[in-house]
Amino acid sequence: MPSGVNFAIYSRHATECTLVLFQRGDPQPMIEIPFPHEFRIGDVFTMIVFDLDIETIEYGFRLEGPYDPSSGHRFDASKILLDPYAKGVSGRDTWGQPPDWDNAFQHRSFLIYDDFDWESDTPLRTPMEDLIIYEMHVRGFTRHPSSGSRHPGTFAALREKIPYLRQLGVNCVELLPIFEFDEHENSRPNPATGETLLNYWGYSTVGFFAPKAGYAATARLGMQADELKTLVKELHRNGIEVILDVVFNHTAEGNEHGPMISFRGIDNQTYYMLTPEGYYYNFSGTGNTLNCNNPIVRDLVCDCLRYWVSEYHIDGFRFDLAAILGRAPSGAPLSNPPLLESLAYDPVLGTCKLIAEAWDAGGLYQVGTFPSYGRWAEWNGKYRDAMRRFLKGDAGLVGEVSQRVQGSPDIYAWRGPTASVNFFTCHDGFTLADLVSYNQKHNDANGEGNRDGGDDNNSWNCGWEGPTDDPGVLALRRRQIKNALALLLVSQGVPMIQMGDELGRTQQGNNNTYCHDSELNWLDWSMVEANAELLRFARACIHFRRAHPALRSHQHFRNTDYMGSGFADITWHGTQAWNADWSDGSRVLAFMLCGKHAKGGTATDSNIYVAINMHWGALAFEIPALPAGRMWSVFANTGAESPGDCSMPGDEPLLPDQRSILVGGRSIVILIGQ
Amino acid sequence: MQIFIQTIDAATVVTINGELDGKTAPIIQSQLAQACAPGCQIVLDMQHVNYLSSAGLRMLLMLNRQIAGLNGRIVIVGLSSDLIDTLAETGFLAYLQIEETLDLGLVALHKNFEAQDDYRNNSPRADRFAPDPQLRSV
Repeated sequence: MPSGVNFAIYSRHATECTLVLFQRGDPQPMIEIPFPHEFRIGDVFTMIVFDLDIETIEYGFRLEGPYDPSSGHRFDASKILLDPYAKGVSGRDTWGQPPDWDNAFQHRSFLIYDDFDWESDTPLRTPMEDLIIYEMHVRGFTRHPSSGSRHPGTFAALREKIPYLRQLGVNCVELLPIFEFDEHENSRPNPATGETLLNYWGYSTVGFFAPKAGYAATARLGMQADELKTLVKELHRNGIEVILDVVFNHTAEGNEHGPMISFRGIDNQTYYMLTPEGYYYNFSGTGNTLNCNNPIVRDLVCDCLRYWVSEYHIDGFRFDLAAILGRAPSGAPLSNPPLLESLAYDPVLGTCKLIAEAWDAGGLYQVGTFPSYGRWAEWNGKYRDAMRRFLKGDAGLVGEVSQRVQGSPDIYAWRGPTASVNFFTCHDGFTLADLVSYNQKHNDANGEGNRDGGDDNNSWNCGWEGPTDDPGVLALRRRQIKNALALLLVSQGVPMIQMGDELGRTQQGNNNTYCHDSELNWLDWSMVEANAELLRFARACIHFRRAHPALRSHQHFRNTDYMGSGFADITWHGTQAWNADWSDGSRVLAFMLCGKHAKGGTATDSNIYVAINMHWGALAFEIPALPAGRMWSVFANTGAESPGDCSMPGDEPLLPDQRSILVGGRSIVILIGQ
Repeated sequence: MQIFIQTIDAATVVTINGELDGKTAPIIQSQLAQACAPGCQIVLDMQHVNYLSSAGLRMLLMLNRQIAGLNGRIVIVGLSSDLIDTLAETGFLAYLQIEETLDLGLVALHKNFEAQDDYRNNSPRADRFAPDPQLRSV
């Protein structure tokens, strides 16, 4: 406000509160101003301070109150606390720079300008069924020296790579956590190399309203907000939506042994789920659990999301360990959780995407049963598991695969395919290249004796564990990667690809690289040339999906001909046309989409025929006949050598024999009929 | 921070030495108040500016708008490549007219006015669903 700044903080159980002001960077406070009692409104301490230089001050709060852990109170007035609503957080301005551990106030609030000129930019409102999501880490995307960026690992550098994303064809980026976090949390030396392991992924929030300073080239000027907004604006200009990975299940404060940064000292009992004895429930596996269904915390979460939507024009959110958001303060799962209901019906959030990772670390697995209120989509873990097993050649999966490629109507019958975010890989687990190169995880570099990370990877190394020169193994791995991409991109639902899967990025078999700020995680841009064949295939599949509305339905298939075209919207085949082999031993499935039924009959498209042969030997597939005057052309054949493995939309060659095609072992053929 | 104002070829040339931040920005603005008249032509010489803060950047933007509103012209010269980087990364660069040197700045001032409208030229929103025709050769 003109010439004055309004400071406000909520605490139900605090008795006194003091505002502490610093000159930027000074270890000692400039002045401490107690909130006068007469300025307290209910549980909120509030006052306006005049004559402050917004650019040069940092601030925090001291709160006095009971110290009685068994009742849930852990007030400590000797600590200076970060404002939970801080729009800017300083103290970690340069990524990785060792902090001054003697500084009593590590993460400091500062003020930002909110006068960014968005011109005519708004969230894009791309229909959910048309999204193609690229899950990525801001730093990892450009930190590698090969990126050629002036400021590697930043929002600014990401912006410079937008042409790459456009060429790839994705229309949505999902960013791993960009809210301020402490990369030095849990830092320790790598047992093998001695280098420091950091909190690289960032699933540990310090400031819910502040973009991570260490991800900004202009953080030294406190301009990370402008830099991020400029990035979002430019992504939108290029037709790319922005989804943020948000972590409301826990905070960086850990349990009673963790640091006191803000919530614990402001109102511990309100913000955290506590046991009757006053210890911290740990449904997140990280030390504490945010008390999401407490009305104050619910307001914080809603305020936070509304803030990012309105101030940063964010298009959607993916909620980490979202099952926690449906737990009561006692930890019990709720059938009608107030927070999830509020988010689903919130007016400001009304058109943004809501995606849940519908499980937590406490055993609550809710894929298909997450309280969705008709709005929430889910990371479909069942898609991942079934398709990975099918890919590696397991038998008995044809029935389940037929459900997964339809957008999982067996799970989301009343919701439609858009409830299902499909993926083979994400940041958790193997990269796509490693999924086909390793049978087991190799996480020794994490320093936990290879005990961390999941063991149910459903991966297959194609005949050798890890690096090899064998041309047969390498060729099979390449083909398997293409198979996965092809399957993902012709499935109904919302496909999600992990950063680097289009380039064959490897993490050397490590399936839990949360702590590596190194080449293990950084995208190596030299792969654009080295793996040009794979990149070309990935681009072709993505552009194929964009060109064919039949692949992007909002409703489930009915498996009937309701448009009178002579074909049902989807039909099933095997090596014989019109006759799929659903038996337990079958590893073969084909399906055909009728173009007249595209998008529930509201769009027209070519017919699309997909033949999937996960058997080890070549098989001849009899192709269903098209109506007179129409012919099959070949979009992709993963069994063929590049450049014959795919074509760009519009360039598909005619299929020589219209009645039959030999599909190689572990290969997929995709035809279009027009 | 010091500020020198002179007139060259009917243009007001404002030279700033030192920091351009929250404290000095209002001083510069008030000093320029007189020069900001309808149809004015201003060159802001920043080659001796050693620090430009968030508030300083915003002052440049406000000045730009103010002068555009008076149908005047303002050109900024002498920015270091670091400063130009910062302007680009925070999205401010698109709104400002930048030239390398004072001489080039004076030349630019006298050129045709239409170039200024390019600032607001939004590139057309990409068609989200059609394949990009440029990619056929992939």
